[in-house]
Amino acid sequence: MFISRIKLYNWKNFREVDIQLAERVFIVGANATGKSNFLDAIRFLRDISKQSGGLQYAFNIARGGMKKIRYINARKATNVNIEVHLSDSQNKKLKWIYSLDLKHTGGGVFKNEVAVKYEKVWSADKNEYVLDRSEGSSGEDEETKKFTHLEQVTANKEFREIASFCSEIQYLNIVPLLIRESESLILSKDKEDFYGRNLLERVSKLNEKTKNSYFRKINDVLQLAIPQFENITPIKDSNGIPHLQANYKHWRPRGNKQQEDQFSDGTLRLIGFLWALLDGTEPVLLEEPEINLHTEIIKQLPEFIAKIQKRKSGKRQVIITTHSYDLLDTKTISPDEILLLEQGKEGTTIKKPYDIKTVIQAIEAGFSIAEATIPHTKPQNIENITQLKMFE
Amino acid sequence: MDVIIVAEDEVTRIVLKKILDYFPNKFNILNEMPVRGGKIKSLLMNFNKLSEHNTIIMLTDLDTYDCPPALLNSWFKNFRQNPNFIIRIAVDEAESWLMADREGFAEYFKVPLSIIPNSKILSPIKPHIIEMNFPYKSSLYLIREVIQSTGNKIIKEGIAAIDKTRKGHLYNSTMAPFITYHWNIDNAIKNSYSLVRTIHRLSKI
Repeated sequence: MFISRIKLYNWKNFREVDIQLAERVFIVGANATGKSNFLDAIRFLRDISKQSGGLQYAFNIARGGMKKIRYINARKATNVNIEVHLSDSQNKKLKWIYSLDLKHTGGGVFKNEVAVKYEKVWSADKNEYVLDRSEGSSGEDEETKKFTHLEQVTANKEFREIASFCSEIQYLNIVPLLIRESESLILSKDKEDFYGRNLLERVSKLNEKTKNSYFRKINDVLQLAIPQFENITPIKDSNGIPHLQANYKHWRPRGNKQQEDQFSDGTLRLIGFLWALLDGTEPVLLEEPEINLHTEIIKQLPEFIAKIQKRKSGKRQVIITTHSYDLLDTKTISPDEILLLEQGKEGTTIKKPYDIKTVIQAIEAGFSIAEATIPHTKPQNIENITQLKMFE
Repeated sequence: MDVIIVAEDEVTRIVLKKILDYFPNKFNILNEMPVRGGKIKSLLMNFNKLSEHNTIIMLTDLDTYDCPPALLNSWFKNFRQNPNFIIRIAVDEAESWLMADREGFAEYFKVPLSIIPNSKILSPIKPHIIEMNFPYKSSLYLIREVIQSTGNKIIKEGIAAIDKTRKGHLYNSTMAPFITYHWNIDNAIKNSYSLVRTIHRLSKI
């Protein structure tokens, strides 16, 4: 399955969003327009669905509660809503609609919490709502409203497919520093995706056969991208802590062994990026995959991703945020795969190239996505940055 | 009128914007292209196609061509130039137009007027065609000769690298305020026919 449409209401930068998604999506926009916050809406559903997650965890612990989540200029309506449409990867037909509406409860002497205002699941197979609960429904009380049915195995029986889909969504934004810093292992405890810190654990948990097959593929790529690295393998030290080890080729015939704390930023990011793409079948969210990589590697990414996202069961959805000219400087990305984030008076809006005349006209005239979209997303007067008086 | 402007480097882009400002309230810049400079020629057909929707005004340098028509003939060898695709060519570079305002340039950058060459008539049969008379590329002449005679250290270090072979680290940002706030187009057109033609052409659209 893939997320074919997403609607957001009062979610972080977005007052209201309703946008269709392709199976490969590139999100572009100026800094601080909400590219990561858009991905975070999808991660939020993952955090609700995963085993150690749930609504209160996803909302209050992982994200700091309503104050941090609700759109800053929210008017009268203060609820937060997320709706996703999930379609079949093979025939592209709509399968499910999941809609979750949330409101704040508590305050004052009561604990700040979040409550379900309504939760609905529509099944395309049955052509009806298999779940339609709202705060006034019979059987609901203050306690039941603190949980979604999505997170409860007894309650999500009829739509378990959605729960397992959401719980398998992967997010990748590797901060190499954290992987190298062994202390950060403690920080990452209980967190699904702590900037790649748990990449090594995730690797170590996989069964040998699959793990070896992934690493063969990773090594094939690394041989081309970073030729001095050879044979990267997952190992465990005497305390059982997982590491990555590679052979670093140099003048000695056998080179020498290096572990992940000696790997370069680019090497770590590339390994993490490859792992995220290989491991799993549900959507993968990538934050700026271009960081730390050489221009010529970045240029290959769109086609490489298109190749790697192919599965027997259909395409695996890949959603990418990027600022990279090199990544977008190609005609192999279709306008339908682009989301343009634009800051306006009423928060950030998301548009497709078709919605912006100058952008679609440039694409149709043969310009690459980079040439067509970057003039539109850049800060208006950025060139004046060199006219600022700094120390004189 | 809505226009898309095209320039291959920062200085050319600022020069083009200043020229559009010469016509108050006439032009509204929709977009500035391309994102990466130095790609103008390879994107020529795309710009031509895009000009079916919006007027495109491109400013480029003459480079190694003998004259503007020679450049255009070579560029449009294989396809027809769309009438809304307006290409203006600075002889020999945008820097030449800037120094064509000899007095203004000398005063702003604190160089003696005599270091900036005078203009000359290019062909005796067409005495109205005059251009600045630089012995070699005007941007190089600016770095190697003109700016070396300034008494202002900040200007000198900004515009020219120490070895005089390359632009200084602050080339664009040192040139930009001059272009935007001080460059006198009325004065510059006295010394550059290609600038006169540009102003004339833009006044007609």
